[in-house]
Amino acid sequence: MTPRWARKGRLAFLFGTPAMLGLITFLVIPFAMAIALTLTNQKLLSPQHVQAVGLANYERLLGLKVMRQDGIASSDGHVTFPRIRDVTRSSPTLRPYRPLGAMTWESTRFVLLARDPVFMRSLLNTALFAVMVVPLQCGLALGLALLVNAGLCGQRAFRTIYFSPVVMSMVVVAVIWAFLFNRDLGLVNQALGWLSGGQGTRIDWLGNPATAMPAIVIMSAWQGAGLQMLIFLAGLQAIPTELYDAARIDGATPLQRFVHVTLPGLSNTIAFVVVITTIAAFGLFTQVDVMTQGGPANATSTVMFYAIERGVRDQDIAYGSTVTVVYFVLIATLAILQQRFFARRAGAR
Amino acid sequence: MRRILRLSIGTLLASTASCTDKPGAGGRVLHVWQHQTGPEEAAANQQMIARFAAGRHNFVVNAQTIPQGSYPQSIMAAAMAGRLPCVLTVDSPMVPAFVWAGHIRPLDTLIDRQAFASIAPPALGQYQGHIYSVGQFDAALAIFTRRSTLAQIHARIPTLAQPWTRAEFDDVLRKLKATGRWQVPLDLGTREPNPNWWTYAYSPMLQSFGGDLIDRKTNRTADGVINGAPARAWAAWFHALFANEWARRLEPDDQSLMRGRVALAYTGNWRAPDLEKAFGNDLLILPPPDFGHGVAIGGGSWQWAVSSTCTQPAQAAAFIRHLISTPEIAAMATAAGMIPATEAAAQRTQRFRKGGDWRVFYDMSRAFARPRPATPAFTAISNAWYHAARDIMDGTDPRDALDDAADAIDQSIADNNGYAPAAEKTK
Amino acid sequence: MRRPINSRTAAVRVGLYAIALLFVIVFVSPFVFMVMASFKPNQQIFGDLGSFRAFLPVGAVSLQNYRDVIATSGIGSYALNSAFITVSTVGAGLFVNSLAAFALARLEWRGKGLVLGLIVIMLIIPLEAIAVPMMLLVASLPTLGFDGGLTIQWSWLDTRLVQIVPFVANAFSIFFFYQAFNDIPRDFDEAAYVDGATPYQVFRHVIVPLSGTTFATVAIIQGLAAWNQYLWPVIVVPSAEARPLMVGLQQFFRFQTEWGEVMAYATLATLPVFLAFVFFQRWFVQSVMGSGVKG
Repeated sequence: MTPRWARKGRLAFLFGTPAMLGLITFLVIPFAMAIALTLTNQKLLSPQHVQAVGLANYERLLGLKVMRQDGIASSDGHVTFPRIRDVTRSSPTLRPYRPLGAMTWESTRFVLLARDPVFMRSLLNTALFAVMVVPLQCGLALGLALLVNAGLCGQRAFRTIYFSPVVMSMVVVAVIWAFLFNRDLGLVNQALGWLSGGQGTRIDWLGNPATAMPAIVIMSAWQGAGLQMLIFLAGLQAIPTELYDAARIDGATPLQRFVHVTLPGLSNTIAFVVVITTIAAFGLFTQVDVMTQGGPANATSTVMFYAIERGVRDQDIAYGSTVTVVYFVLIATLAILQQRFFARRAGAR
Repeated sequence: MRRILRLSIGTLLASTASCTDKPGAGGRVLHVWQHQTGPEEAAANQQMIARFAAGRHNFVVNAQTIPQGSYPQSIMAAAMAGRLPCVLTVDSPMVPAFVWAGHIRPLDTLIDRQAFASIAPPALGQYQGHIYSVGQFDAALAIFTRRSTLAQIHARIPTLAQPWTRAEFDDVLRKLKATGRWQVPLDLGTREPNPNWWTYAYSPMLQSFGGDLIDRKTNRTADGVINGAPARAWAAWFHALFANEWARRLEPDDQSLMRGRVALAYTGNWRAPDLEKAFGNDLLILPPPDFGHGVAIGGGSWQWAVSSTCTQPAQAAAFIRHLISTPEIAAMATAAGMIPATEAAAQRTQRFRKGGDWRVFYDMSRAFARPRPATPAFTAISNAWYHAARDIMDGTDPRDALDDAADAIDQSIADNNGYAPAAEKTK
Repeated sequence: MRRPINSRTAAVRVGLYAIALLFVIVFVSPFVFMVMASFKPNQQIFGDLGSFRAFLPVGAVSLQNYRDVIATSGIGSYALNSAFITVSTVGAGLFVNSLAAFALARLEWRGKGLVLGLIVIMLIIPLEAIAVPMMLLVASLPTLGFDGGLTIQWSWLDTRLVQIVPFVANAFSIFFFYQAFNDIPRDFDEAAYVDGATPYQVFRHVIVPLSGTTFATVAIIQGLAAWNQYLWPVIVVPSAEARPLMVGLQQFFRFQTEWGEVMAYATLATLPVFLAFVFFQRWFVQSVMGSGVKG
């Protein structure tokens, strides 16, 4: 039963109003606007009227098609295919589509076409980034947490140092690493040169489509791991020492103790860390904007970067909003799926 | 409680608002915005404005400098808020877009057209039969190198009348690379991340190959032009520069020639003073190569315009008349090394008069300058070209990259109903 | 801190120290490089890169880069903007969010559960998902200006205001305060009310003094976010007047080719955070560990 003195409906309303007003104005309304704008052709600044366009933005963003091509066999048995864009550009139904990928099977080629291949590429890049950075960053963080927790002298100092990049601005970190990754002058290539004894070619980390995203992955994990390390540390310290003592009495090796005591004890923490790291990874923007502007050849364009490019820099508010709405649906789904996955694993144990 | 809240929000509002004393409202202040430039040009502008203000006591000039990187966004933000300044600088290819968006008004309704008669065409921003902007100068891109460098490989020194052909240029690059003195022989300026620079610097090369960005007769489609056969030839050549390591995609700074990292640099006349200081007589300023359809360089630089919301058009007009007077054009050319917009002004300068050592820029500007497409779609064209050229540099199939550019431009034109003027917006 | 593993040979310990030190090098060397490069001219930075000189203050070391950066980059006014934005956001944020959390945790009213649920839902909407439409929104909000007389301008673009107000109310902060306030025993409130205190006095004189660590934690998290803010100002603050430090650095980095100066700018932009980190380290660590476990 609530005591009378605590029933303060009007006061509570008064106390809560500033915060709720802020949240409604700058979170709820923009969110509703985002959804509404995707159904229009709103530009940031145009002398022309805004029109409702139905689902056209979504069609343009997400439109996919598979095209089947039959190869032309030459006399020497070599199979060639007509150039994809020559086909799409001369067909009225395929005209808005551009190639995204292709798979050849004997003398038939299946081509995946997209209305907006740059967005699809960005989506793929973002997923690729998450797939690389989440294990790397979480693994590094867990390793650092175990190291800091291993009872070394000066563990506080180690903890502080490993955590320090987290408080630095991502812009600062990206600027420094852009230099470290430089092909001719960068320290990363210098260090690799020393390690390999001057062997091997210099890598143009940010200039090569194959290495640009991995370079951003390395830098991001380096910057962020300290955060997850601290969360793991908190988790480690919550594991009862008795469990370790019992395991030791049973004669368990350090590895066995890690697998049978530490990991189960950390399962909730691991789930939490993986979910927040994944969500953060899908928001990748700053590193790309500072270091590569989405290049080379769209290799580092991400969903968020693309949303800002189209929505703000190309002034196409409606289309940019469509990208962000799709982005939101994506991360919400991911968060729910991951939570389900970890919940089921925990239940099975 | 409520009072505390209102007070704190009030002070917050006031403290932030008080520092946004932006132009817009009337009064006796003429607001002028200019993009950020090099120190010499900025100083010359300041003096020009001071000389204008000196003779006038009924109003003051408030001049602000906006960083070039975000200048278009700043103009857009100001336009959305209805607080554009009276007078502003504008990059000449952006003029049609500004007209279309309703930012600026025709100058020839404020000032007699006769006043612009002696101004060279690249320094005038014209659209739909009106003059909307005027510049004191033009700029010109050239190949900078050293006499001793060319002597080393026994290369011919090209002239305006007889520039390098494509074969000669490629041969020079090949020989320079072969000396082993330079890891890459050429700096094209590809470190610059600004789409308008890429259009300014590399689309004239496309034109010299016989291609173009868009069908100039209608300005309605790029298909078959930006992705035509000449454009593909340009793309193959451009890609090879990087594939052969004749040029670096990203120089660590813009001092490549100065510091001896490259043998040739493709850059603008604004770099001439520094390079001349470093190399003296050894410096060579050469026309870009002729790739088959004549030498082409970008025409049109930053110019001055009057906003449509300006409440003091008479003062704005006086300001424009002041800055295109012969002494002012000459003063800018002398102070900042920019190419004067009139012959009369050129004759008043040491360096650009006939026989002057920078006359080559003046002659190149007159002989080779080509305007960029005069359409509000320019931003879309520029972005599409930038992405295509970057992708080609980075190894994307040139035909695919150029087809993508054509599609992006045509899409943008369709999305904006052909960039029809506001008056005929309904279909 | 307990040691999970007790029996360990000396060799293992040495190995662990070696790994720990290796990671120290990995985490520290980029910053050392940044600071060292900031004192050197461009030519020497390039020259030193082949050796350990890159990490040492050797050669033509001077403050020239700093002088040039301060003179030409506008870093001074950008830093002031960032400081103003950070202090205002944190100050207003602590007050507004803790007050709302107080209403949620310590007062009883109808619809409380619903509001709490809504706040938890809001936790998962990231700024990125709403940034584009929010730009359109703030472009048509009114501000007061003084241009001769009082004027109203219909846009928040290019102001410091637009970098503060949207971030004052924060679902995460409210939730964090709410959890902390919930842990405080109710007897304290009751005693104060019996003495005739008003709810605001209870908040001010009972809850706030008991929640020092919580306030510090929220201040650090919101403050760090405000100081390091990048995406939002990139969108809504194009011109220089209201530009914060990090956008200034990005601009400087893109259009400046003197690496020493870029590093000097980066060093200066990092310095305040670094000093705060050194002095308030305990809270920094606590803030993450606390928020991580509870959130």
